[in-house]
Formats: sequence, C-alpha cells, structure tokens
Amino acid sequence: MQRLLFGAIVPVTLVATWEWSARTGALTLESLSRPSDILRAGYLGLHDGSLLLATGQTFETALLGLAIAALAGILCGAVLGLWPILDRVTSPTVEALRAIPAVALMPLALMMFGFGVGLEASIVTYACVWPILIVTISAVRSIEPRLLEVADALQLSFPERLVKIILPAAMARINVGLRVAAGISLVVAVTVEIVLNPRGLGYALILAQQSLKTDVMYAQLLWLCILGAALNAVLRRFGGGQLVLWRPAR
Amino acid sequence: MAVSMRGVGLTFAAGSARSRQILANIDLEVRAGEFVCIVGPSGSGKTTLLRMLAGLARPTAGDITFYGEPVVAPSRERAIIFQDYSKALLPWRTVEANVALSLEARKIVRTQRGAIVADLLTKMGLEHAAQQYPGQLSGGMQQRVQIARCLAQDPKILLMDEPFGALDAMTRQTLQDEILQIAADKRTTVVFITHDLEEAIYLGDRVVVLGGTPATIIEAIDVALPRPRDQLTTREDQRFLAHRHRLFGLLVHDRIKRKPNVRSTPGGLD
Repeated sequence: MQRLLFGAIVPVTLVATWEWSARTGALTLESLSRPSDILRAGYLGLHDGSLLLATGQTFETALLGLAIAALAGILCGAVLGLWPILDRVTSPTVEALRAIPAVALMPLALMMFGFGVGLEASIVTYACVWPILIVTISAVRSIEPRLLEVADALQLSFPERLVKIILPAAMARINVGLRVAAGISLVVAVTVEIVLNPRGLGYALILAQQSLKTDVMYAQLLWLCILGAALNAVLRRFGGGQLVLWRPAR
Repeated sequence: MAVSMRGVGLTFAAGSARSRQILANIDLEVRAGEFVCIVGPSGSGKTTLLRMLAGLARPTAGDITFYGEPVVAPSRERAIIFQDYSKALLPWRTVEANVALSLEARKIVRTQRGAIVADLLTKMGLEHAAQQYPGQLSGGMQQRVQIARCLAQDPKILLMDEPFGALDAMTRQTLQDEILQIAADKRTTVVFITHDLEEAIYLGDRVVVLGGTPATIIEAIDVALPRPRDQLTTREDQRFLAHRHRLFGLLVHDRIKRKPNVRSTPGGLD
C-alpha cells in the first residue's frame, strides 16, 4: 500500500501540473491535450464501444498469430530437439530466416494476403515462432533420457510419447519462450496496424493522430499502457506456475 | 525357456581405436517363473546385459530370444525397473497417474484403469500416496511406484537393475520381501541385477556371476534354499553362508586376477 502511494507521487504530480498549465495557458502545444479531455475521450471511446472493438481486433490477430507460432514452434522444436541431425541440417537456415525483421515482411505479406487478419497474423506468427522454436529445441534436448527409455519400454507411439512424456517434461522451459512471444505478439500486431493494416488499436491510433484528435490519441495510448501492464501481469502469473503443468516439489 | 541368450557379446565402438568389448560369449537360459540374480563387480556389464534383455541395447554378437521370439526392440512384456527411480518417474504426474501410464500404453479404457491402479497401489502399500507427486515421497516409496507401474504393464518378466541399491538397509529388506511375494503370487520370471551378494542369494533361485574382461559368466550356483524365505532364518541357514563364502571368494579372487591386465578404466558402463 505504501509502495503504491509512493509510486503514485510522480504520475499524479505530472498530470496535475499538466492539467494546471494547460488550463492557465502556460502551455499551449498542439500535441498535448488536457488530461481531463483525454479521460473524457477515453470514456467516450469505451462507452460507444469503438475502443473495445479495436482492442478485440488487435488481440484476436495477435493471439491467432501467437497460437499458430506456438503450435508450429513447439512441434518443430520437439522434432528438431529429438533428432539432433535434423537440427544440424536446419539450423543455418533457421538462423538466416530469424535474422529478417518480421516487420520487413509487411510488403510481402500484403501481396500474399491483402489487408486484414491474414496480413497481420502472418507477421505476428513470423515474429513469435523463433523464440518458441529455439526454446523448445533446447528444452526437449535437456529431457531426462531415462524418461525416453520409459517411453521405449512401454512402446508408446510417437504422438503418445510427445503428449505424455516430451511436452510435459519440456513445458516448464517452453513456457518461458511462450511468455516472451506473447509480449512480442502485441507489439508486432500494433506496429502492423499503425504502418499498414486498417484495423485494430494501431490503426485507431494513427487515425486519431491524422485527424488531429489528440485527446483520443492519448486516451488510446493510455489504454494500450493499461492493456500492456495487464498482459504482463497475466503472463507473470502463468510463468509463476499456473500454466506450468508441474513444479518440482520441495 | 523364458529367456535364452546364446553366444551374446557386446563391443562398444567396434572397429574403431576406442573399441572396447564389454561382454563375451554369454550363454544364459532362464526358465519361466525362475528368479535369477546376476552379480558381478562394478563395471562388469551387468546393466548392459539387462538392457539387452529389455531390448534397450542390441548385442553385437549372438542372439537373444524371449519365449522363442528374437528380442529386437523393447516390449511391454518385459518390464525394466531402473535403479534411479527418481529419474524414471514422471514428476508432473501423481503416483496414481504414473502407474496409469502403463495402462494408457496398453490402451485400457479409462473406466477400467481406476480399479487396476487402486489394486496395485494397495499391493505396494501406496494407497495413501495415490494423489501425491513423486517428489514428495521417500526413495523407497518412489521405487514402489516404479515397481507398481511396471506391474501395470502386465509383464511376463521383470528386469530389475539394482533396484534397491540406493535405499537404506531397512527399506531394502522390506522391498526384498515384497518383490519375493509378488514374484511368488504371479509366478513372474525375474532377472535381478545386484552387487549385493547376500541380496542375490536371499532372493534368487539361481545366482549367476559375471567376471573377467570382457565379462563372461564365470559361475552359476543353484541356491536351493526353501521358500518362502525369511530375513532371519534364511540368512542364518548353513547353505546361505556356504553360498556367500563361495561367491565372495569368486568375486574377490576375480578382482585380484583382473588387476594386472586391466587395459582400460572400468566404470561408467555399469
């Protein structure tokens, strides 16, 4: 509680000064709206649903991209982790592909998918798949070999072995990759919307800026800040054990 | 014959400069229902032998059959119980779910699993630990879970690799009696690796001694002690003591004999 109070000193003072200087005319900048106007714009945006609609669009694409990346990254990572020869063959290619900044693929993705979910989700997938793939490879490679022998002795089929032994054993470490990727997915989705894709929060942001609705733009920034913090909190929660299927007992 | 090994040998890295022969000319037959203990000094290839029986390792010479069928890969009919129980259990599954893994492998429908698992847990004295995770249990309890999981495979043979080697003396004796009981109840064939000579005599119908470099079977003794066996009276039996003397002499003698012509450092393969 005390920490919260102390932490509030700086933002509260800043916002109060900002509001006061805007009202007294000490500060007249076109790029700065009054905090009270920003709050009203935010309230209106939430009230008429436009902000939530844009949020939904951004999140659905970010999550879709993340889900595809997770599926592909974990599956390929498991295979490459289990057969080091395949990893040796593919790793130069992986390193080369990984070096391409995902956002640089926007023109190409636009040609392939046109505007819409496909364009954005594909870029998000590309950005997210590498950390998941690399973490999965190392996680699978460090599985206790005895567990794989247990799977051999029980004659488990490959899918059974993957679902019952390999993935649970590697999950704690794969989660780290998933958390990193989840953070990336939101950043990339908003970026694609700002630059190219006419939907979601990023597009709303650029639209507000171009129509000089500075208060709306600030309200959206504030909203993104809240969403980012919430996402972080959720991920940290999961990383702390909820999403992890098991924790070593003391 | 449950198990038949003929002229079995194993050479690591055959053909290369680091080539090293571990086992040579192993001829071993195990009757159905027999309890065979294999002893030998550390590094004599006992574990390698057992892994070949399980199908986890392939011999480089000779052949192994199980009820007449050549052993080429692991099979649920041959359950292997590892010494390092903590590594062989699934730490994210409860005791119950660890045992159920074998039933899942056998494609036994979910509705029937509960009763089988409960039965095995009761048999192994684990009924109160059903919902616990392996990491919460003592070593002896963890090894019981592994044995229960192997029994859930419904195997024709139990291959046990120094299963009680890491346990304290009291727990070890309890588990020895439990495994004798299980073997007697189900008439399961058992091949049991140990470096504890008394354990081998106490449990086995036959004790097979590995020795030499590369290791071969240097002796096999019929224990011929009455069953059921008893931790006190069996161990005081004159025949028990005689076997113990004989095995002790063999292994110590073997060790002395081995010393002058040791070519590579033992260890790591046992």
